Amino acid sequence: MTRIFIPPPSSDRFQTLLTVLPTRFADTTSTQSALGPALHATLAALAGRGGLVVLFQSTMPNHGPGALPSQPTEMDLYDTDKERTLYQPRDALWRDIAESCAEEGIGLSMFLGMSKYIDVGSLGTMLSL
Amino acid sequence: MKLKVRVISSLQPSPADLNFILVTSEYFSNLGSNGLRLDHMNRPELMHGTVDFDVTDSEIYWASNPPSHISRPFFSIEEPAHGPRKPELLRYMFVLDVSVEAIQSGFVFEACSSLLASLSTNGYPPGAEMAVMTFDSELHFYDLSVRPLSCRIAKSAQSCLFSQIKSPCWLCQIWMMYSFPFRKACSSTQQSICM
Repeated sequence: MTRIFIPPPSSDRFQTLLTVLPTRFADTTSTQSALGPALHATLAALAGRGGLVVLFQSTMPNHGPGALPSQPTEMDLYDTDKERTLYQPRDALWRDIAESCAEEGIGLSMFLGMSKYIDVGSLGTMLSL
Repeated sequence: MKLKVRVISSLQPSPADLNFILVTSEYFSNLGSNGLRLDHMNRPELMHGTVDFDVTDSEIYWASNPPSHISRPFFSIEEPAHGPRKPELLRYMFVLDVSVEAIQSGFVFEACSSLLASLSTNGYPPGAEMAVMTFDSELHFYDLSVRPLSCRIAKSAQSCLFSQIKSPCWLCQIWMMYSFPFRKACSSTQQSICM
């Protein structure tokens, strides 16, 4: 039986994996980020049991379900009624994921390390349901 | 097994509210002249903001699984669980974005270093389990049950790649292990299984 969850005592494999991960993807060319499906997969992994998801994200989700359109022109929105839309989720999926996680007893911690627009208004919905 | 339940008592209910709170006969107590129960001083759950109780491992204290939905966003061969949920050891799932920007900015490296550093602390509860998953436009899972990976081997093997992202299924349930060079074969087979 395959196990992707292992306890820390056998964590030398885990440490090895964490050590080689950055080099393994060093020559990656993918600029896409399928965050929605990734969170669906964690839901599948932890459903019926609960757990804690620790997410490290640095690209705006732009692939698969939950993909967000490109950055809105903020200058057009400032000082207008639509300014508040900058703080609201731009895709309903993020709220759905948050609700599913809450139901299943899954916690989510998020570390964002972005250099471009990442739409915290959408991603933050999952943390502030 | 001893479980601890923390009861956070709400604000003191007004006497008017108390008329509508039904309690079992053992819990009944007359009210004193000040409107408080006579046994108020002997009831820590009424006296204090938080109280720790030692409870049995009876199912009534377990969290319950959510009601089943019409559709689930993922594929699973297991039926959704019903009823009370048995308390189990905490599972950690570390999910890393490995798209170009994350790699080039060094965020993945820093994240991995921080996780490595955290492993040597006692921050994790005993018996906790952990898994790693990465994603860009595909999802990558790592089988950690196989023999200890050396750095050289790990570069080329023991990961499973997942291209059919519309309805991800959980690979513990349908497991196939692919090594990295078989990326294309993997995605087509995976698709056929997921449909």
